[in-house]
Amino acid sequence: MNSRGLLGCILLVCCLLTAGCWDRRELQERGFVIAVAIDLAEKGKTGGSELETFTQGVGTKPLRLSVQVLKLTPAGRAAESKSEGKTFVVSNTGQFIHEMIRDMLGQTSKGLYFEHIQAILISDAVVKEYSLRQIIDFWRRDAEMRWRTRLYIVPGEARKVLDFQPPTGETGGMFLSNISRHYARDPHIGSVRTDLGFTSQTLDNGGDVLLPRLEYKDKQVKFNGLAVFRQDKFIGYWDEYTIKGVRLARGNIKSGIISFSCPEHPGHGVSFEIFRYNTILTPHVEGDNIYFTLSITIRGNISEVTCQQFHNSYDTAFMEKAEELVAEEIKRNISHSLNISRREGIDTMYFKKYLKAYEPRTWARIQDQWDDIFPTIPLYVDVRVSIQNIGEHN
Amino acid sequence: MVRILDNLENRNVMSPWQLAIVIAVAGAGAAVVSSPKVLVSLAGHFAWLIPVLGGALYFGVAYLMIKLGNLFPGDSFSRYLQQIWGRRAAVIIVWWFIVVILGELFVRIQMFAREIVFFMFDRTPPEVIALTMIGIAAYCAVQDVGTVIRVSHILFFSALPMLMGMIMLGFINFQFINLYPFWPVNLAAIFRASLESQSFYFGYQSILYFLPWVYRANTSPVKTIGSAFALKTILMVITIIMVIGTQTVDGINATPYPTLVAIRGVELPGTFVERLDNYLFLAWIPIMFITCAVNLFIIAKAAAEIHGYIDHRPFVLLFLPVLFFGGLSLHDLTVFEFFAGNVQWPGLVFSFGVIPATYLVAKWKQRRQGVTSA
Repeated sequence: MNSRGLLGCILLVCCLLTAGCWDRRELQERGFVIAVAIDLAEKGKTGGSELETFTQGVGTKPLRLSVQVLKLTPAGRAAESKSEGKTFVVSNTGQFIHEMIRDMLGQTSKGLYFEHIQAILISDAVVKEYSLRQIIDFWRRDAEMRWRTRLYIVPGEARKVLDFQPPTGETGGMFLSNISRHYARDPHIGSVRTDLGFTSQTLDNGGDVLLPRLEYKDKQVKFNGLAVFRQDKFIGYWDEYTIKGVRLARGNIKSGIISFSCPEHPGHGVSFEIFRYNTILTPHVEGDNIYFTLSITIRGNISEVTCQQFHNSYDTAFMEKAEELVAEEIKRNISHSLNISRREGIDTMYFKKYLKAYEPRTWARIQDQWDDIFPTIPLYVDVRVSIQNIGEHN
Repeated sequence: MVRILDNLENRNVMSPWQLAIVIAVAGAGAAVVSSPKVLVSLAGHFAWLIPVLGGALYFGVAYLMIKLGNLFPGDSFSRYLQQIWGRRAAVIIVWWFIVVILGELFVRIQMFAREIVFFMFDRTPPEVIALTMIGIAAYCAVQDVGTVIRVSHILFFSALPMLMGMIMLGFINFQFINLYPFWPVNLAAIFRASLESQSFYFGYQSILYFLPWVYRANTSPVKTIGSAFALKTILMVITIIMVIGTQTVDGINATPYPTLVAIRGVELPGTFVERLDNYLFLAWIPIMFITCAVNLFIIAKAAAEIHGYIDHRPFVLLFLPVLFFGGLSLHDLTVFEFFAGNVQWPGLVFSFGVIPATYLVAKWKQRRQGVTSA
């Protein structure tokens, strides 16, 4: 046999071996996991059964993992399934997330498939007992996971949220994921750069993690606050006003409402809608003194005046006063958030990151004393507001 | 009358720009996935400087290879080595060259199989992935040089722009602050690390065997090969800046595959396109293929010529199982890391020892014989 014939034989054998798809699994054979809830196994357990566990060789079983799986129903059964909901939930208890997931295969006819996971809900009871790094370790390692999966902290039991039936007809996981996209227009939503990828990155850089707090009550969900972590250790929640201050300082706001009381008419006030928002945070080092300056430039419109019968919005004096009051309110809000950050030792304003980046020698000198130095670092805020419009009506 | 058509693929000429395209496409993208991690761990924020210095360094070697080839116009490396060093030494040098290329290919085959299995086909044995790639690369390598050039050109204009496009998409999550600090620059670490960028410029060694085919009517191969190096440098600098800007240095140090992670982190809301790392793979796989094919072709050519054979094809078949078993023998992570970390040393000896020495001896011999170089 000549070399051409030999090559032909080898290639033919290769074709026989590699023909077809090794990993073939049809769409309807997959159990698409849309959301996941992580709880403590023994606390506040609902909706479970004794089957949701397995015999484990060593160790305890402190965690309860619940997965929300999409129901893929044939077209004819669509109406029937509408009444039952679009998803079902499977739970398990154990020590390792991955082991629980694999054991869940004994509870479902379809393989669990995490490529489309939208949200990971973690009960605050879990992060009070375990570090965030430990809880999300599996999700960071596994190549099937998405970096843009949302992470939420749920007060109480996270499993309950998976039973939530969105009124919009979406699956629960999609609904929860899409809420977090509204951060661009609502400074109360603290979900900017808080997904799995950015959280992982923050942890790698030794930063403090902030995650959105998601509450479920009376069959309704709401983002109402931030869960705050000193690096990966949960220390508590912050309210919407504090979130807003943090976001105003970080400059990750595209739009939002700044409201202030009218000094001339108690009980009344004005609200201002942000249209453009830019910040420049600069570290300054003078000898042993470190301080930061934050320069903010805002453009926006007057969006509401509750004492409008006493004011003429066109009036230059009113405009100038309003600009001044918006600036004051922003400074007050940032100062409020900074004080809370300092008190709790959480570097929400990225002082460490900026110092490392722009003053690396200073950072190298002070990094060991950073925890002591951080609360004493002053921040000088300069806000420039420009009102572009007063709306459609005076 | 029976008329036998010429084999149009059996070419014996190529233009300097065609050579540059082969050099540019083979090896360029293959290291995009793995090199940033290594380079960032060596030089931190200044890793983007490494390809710039490395590019200059390895272009210097390529320049020397061109000068060496110019001393023996029309002759390939295997042939003129025998004139310079004698037959026995030439055989050793050529096999050293083959070992250098094989070592780099082992790493690439293992890396390719490992990453494809990890990210795309987790239930597929890596042997199947490696065998498929080697089989297809061998099919290309048993063809004549015309086919190799043509396939390189097709991939240069299709896969490489796609790869570049995917890398550019990574800038969606880019933050300038992650690139800082720009000082103090650790020059010693950068110079040391620039040697490590050999794996990125890998493939330039094939100049030694392609050069006899290159006709130099108006364009100098130095200029075209320089352009190929510039393109590779730009691709790598952009990749490193994108990866650091999206993931930070500490983030990269915690991730085995930072380029893939950076691309998979891209979300394009409102589009149906998801998991962009898969698209990066789509561009990366053909580039891996052409890297294997070109280098397999070259080592087969080298072995055939040094042992006096005209046909390189039996040697392609000989190297096929070597590549397969060699690549897959690195399946253990610690072995792979050790091998990948040290595979450049034979290459460095070849590039910075053998080539300059050969050039100097050849020059000296020609001067002694009164030959004027071309």
